[in-house]
Amino acid sequence: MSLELLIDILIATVPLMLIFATLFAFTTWLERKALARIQNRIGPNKVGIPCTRIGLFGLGQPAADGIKMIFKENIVPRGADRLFHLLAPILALIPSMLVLCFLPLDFPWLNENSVKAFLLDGAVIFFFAITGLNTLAVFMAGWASRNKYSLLGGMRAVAQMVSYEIPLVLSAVIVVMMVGSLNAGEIAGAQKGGNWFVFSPWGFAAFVIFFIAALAETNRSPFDLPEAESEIIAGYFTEYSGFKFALFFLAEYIAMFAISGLAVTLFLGGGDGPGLAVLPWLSVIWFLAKIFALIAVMIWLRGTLPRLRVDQLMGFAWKFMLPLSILNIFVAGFAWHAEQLDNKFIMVITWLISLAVLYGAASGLNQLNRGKVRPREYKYAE
Amino acid sequence: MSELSHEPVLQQFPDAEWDEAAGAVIVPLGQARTMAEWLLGQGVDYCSNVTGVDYLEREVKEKITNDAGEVETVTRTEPARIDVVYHLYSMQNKTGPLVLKQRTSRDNAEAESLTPVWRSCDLQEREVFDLFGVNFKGHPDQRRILMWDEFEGHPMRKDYTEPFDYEWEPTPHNEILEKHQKGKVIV
Amino acid sequence: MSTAAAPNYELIQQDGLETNLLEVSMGPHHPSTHGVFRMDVKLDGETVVDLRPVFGYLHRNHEKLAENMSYLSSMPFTDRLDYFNSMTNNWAYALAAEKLIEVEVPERAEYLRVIMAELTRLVNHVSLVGFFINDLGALGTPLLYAFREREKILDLFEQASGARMMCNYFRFGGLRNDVPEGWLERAAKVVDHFPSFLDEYEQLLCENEIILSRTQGVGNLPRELAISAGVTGPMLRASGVAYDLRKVDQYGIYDRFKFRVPYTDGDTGDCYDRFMIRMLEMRESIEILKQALAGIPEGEIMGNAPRVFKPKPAESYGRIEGPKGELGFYLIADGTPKPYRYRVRPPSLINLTVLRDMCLGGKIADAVIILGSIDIVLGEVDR
Repeated sequence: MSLELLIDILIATVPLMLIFATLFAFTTWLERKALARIQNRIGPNKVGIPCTRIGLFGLGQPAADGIKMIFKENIVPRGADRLFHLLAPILALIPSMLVLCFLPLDFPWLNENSVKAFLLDGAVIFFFAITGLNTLAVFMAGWASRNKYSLLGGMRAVAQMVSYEIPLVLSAVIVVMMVGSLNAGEIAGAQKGGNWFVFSPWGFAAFVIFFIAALAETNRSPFDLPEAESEIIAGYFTEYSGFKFALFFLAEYIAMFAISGLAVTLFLGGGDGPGLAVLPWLSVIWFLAKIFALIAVMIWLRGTLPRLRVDQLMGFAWKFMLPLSILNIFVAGFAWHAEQLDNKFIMVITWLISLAVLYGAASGLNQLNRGKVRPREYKYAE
Repeated sequence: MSELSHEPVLQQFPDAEWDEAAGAVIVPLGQARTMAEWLLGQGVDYCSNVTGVDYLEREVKEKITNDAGEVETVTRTEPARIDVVYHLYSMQNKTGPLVLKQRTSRDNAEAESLTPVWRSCDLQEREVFDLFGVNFKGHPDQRRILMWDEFEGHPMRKDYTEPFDYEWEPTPHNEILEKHQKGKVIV
Repeated sequence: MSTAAAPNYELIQQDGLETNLLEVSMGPHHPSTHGVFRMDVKLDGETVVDLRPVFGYLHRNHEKLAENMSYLSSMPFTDRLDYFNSMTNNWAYALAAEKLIEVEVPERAEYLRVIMAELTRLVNHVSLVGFFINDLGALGTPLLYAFREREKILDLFEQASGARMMCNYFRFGGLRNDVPEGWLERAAKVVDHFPSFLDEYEQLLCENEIILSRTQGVGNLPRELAISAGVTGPMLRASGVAYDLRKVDQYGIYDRFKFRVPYTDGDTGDCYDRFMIRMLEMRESIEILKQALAGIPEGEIMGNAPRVFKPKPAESYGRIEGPKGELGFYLIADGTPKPYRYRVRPPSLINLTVLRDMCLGGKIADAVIILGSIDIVLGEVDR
C-alpha cells in the first residue's frame, strides 16, 4: 500500500462522499419546501444564518436538523436485539454509498490511476447485487425493533423490494443489450452526441419501467407502504431515534441518488449535454442536473399521489410491469438486429411497429388488471 | 311526519299498558322479544335510541276525585325501578316514533335483549348494562363499554357514590360513604 | 343478523410450519384513528381476521353532569360532544327542549338556524373528505386544500358567535344574538366561491385511479344490515336508503327549501360511495344556503321562552339530521329546573356497530380507510 495508492483512493472517494452529503442536505431542504408549496403552505423559512434573523429561505434547516438528531437520546426498546438494531442503519447506508463510486462522473481532478478500481467491467451487475442488501437492512430493522408495527412494515418492505427488483433489472438489460457492455463508462459513452436511449420507443418504455421500479425500491410514494404513516405509524423505523434515524434518512436519500444516477447513466446519456467540447468538466454538472431533475419528479409524485395497498402493489409488479418488460426485451432485440442492417427505411418501420406493440401491450395489460373500477353515478330523491 | 300508532300494539298484546303521560307502551314481562319481532314484521325496522332511566323509590302526590266528588291529594309510593326505553321508527314507511319501555326492579335488574331483532341495540344495550347495571338476557356480547373492565359500580344510577380515588378504592367506604349518606356529597 | 363471534379461521398447518395470528392493537395513540380510539385487530399476514373496537377513552359522563345542572347550562357542553359541528349539536338540544314547552321560534331565527346548520355540514364534510384522502396516504395535500375552505367558514362562525368551534349560539326559543352587520354578504361570498373549490377537488380526486382502486369494493355495507344496525346519515344513504331527516321530519323550516338528497343506486355501499355522497351533499347544502341567504327576513331572534326553564313533567325526543347522522336528545323533565334524564343519541357510536362486519376479510390498510369513511368523532362516541 504505497502512498500514491492511498492518495489516489482518497482523491477518488472523499470528494464523492462530501459532494453527495451536501447534496443530501440540499435535497431534504428542497423536499420540504416543494411539498409545502404543493400543499399550499410555505415550508421552513426561518432557519437561515445563525444568530441573525435573516431567513435565507430556510436553507439552514438541514444543518439544524442534523444537529438536533445527533443530540437526541438513543432509545432502544427493552427486549429488542441491540446488535441488529445498531447494524440495520449502517447496513442500509453502506450499499448506497458504495454504488455511488461506479457512476461515470469525470471529475477533473481524477487521473487514470485513481479511477482504475472503479472502471469495473461489470458495474451494472455490481450495482444490482449491492442494492439487494438494502432489503436485508430494512428487514433487519423491522425484526430487531420488537414491535408488531415494525414487523409488518419490514415484511411489506421485503415483499415489495424483492418484487420490484425484477422489472428494474430487466429494463436495464435492454440498455446493456444495445450497447453490448456492462461498463458504466462505456454505456454513457455510447449515448454521446444526443442520442440518448430514452429517445427510442423501447428505451422510453424501459426508462418508465425503471423509474417506477426505482420508486418502489427506495420506498418512496406512492410505494411507501413500509413507512406508511397512517397505518403503521412509521413502519420499520418506528423505534429508531436520534442518530440512527438520521442514518436511515441518509441511506434512503443516498439510495435515491444512486438509483437516479444509474437511470441517468443508462437512459439519459450520462454526462451528455451541450457545451462539452469547450469545457470537459461540464459533464459533471450535467450529470448532477439530470439527477436533480429525477429527484424533483420523485418529490412531485410524493406530494401528489396517494398510496397503493399491498396486494395492488404486488399485482402491479407481477402482472403489469414484468410482462411489459419481458416484451420490451424482445422488441429491443428485434430493433438491434434491424439496426445492424443499416437501412433507414427499415429503421422507421421498426420504430413504428415497436411503438404500436408497446403501447398496445401496456393498454391491454392495464385493462386486464384494472378490474371494474370506474366513477359512478348516484340517484337523487326529492 | 306521520305518527306510528300504538293502537295495533295494544290490540295484539292485551297485557301491554299505555302510559299517557310519557306516551309510551309498557311492555309486559317476558314478551319483549315477541313484541319486537311482531313490530319488525309490521315494518318498524329502525331502533333509534335505547336508554335507561333510573327511578328511586319516591312518593308521588296525585289529585284524584274520590267517591264524594271532591278533588283531594293522595300520596302513594312508587316503587323503585329501572326503565329501558326504546325509540322505534319505520324507515320504509317513514313514520314514528313508537316508544317502548321495559320495566325492571333495581336489585337484580334484568331485561330481554332486543339485539337479535334490531342490531342497533347492540352497543346501546351494552351501555345500559355498563352504566345502569341491567342484565340483558340474550345479548351476544355483554360487557362494559365506556368504563374499564375492572370498574365496579354503575355510574348513572341515582344513588351512585363516587369513590375517593378510582384506582385504589373502586367502591366508597368509611368516611366517603358516611358523608354521602348524610347528603353532603353531590353525586 | 346477530353479532357472531369471530369466524372459525383455519390457520395454515403444513409440515411442521405453524402459523399464528398476529395481534395488533391499533391503539389509542395513533395518527389515523381520529381520536383516542382503539381497535384490537387479529391479523393473518395482512388479512383482518377479527376486530374489536374499544371505546371509553374520552368518556366524560356528560349525561350525569347534565342531570345536575340546569337545562341551559348544558348548552355549552353540547358543543363539546361532536366538536367539529357545534352548531348542529346545539340545535338538536334546543329542539328537544323546545318540545317540552310551548314556544315559537321567530322567522329570522329559524332562517339563521338553517344557515348555521348547513354551514356546519359543509365544514364537516369538507374536513372528512380531506382526512379520508389523508388516510389513503396523500400526505396532507387534499387536507390542506379542504381546510382553506373550512377556515373561511370558521371565520364566519367567529364573527357571529364569538368562537370558532365551540359556538354556544343557540338558545331555547331562538338564538343568543343576531349576526353582525355585513355578515350575510360575507356568507354569500363564501357560499358563492365554494362550488369552484368542489369542482377543483372533484377534478383532482374523483377519477384518480389509485383512489378508485383503493376505495371501491372496500367496506361493503348491505342495505338490510345498515337499516337494522341503526346506521344513519351519509353512510345510510350510501347504502341505498333515501332517508334524510330533513325530508322525513321536516324540523325547523326545511319544508320551504328545495333540495335533493343523493343516495346510491343499489343495495350496498362501499367507501367510495360514502365519499362521493358527501361530495354531492355539499352541493345540495350550497343550494339550501343560497335560498336561505336570499330569503332571510328581518325580525327578532328570540321567542318568548320563560326566564327560568322549568318545564312540566313530560318526555321528549328531538332529533336532527346532523352531518354525521341522526343526532337525538332524549329529555325527561320532572318539573324542576334540572332534567331528570338527559340522553344523547350519538350517531358516531351507532355507526360503529358495523365496523367489524365491514372490516373482516379485508386488509389492515382497508380497516383504516373504512374507519375514516364512517366519520367518527370521539367526543360523540364516548360523550
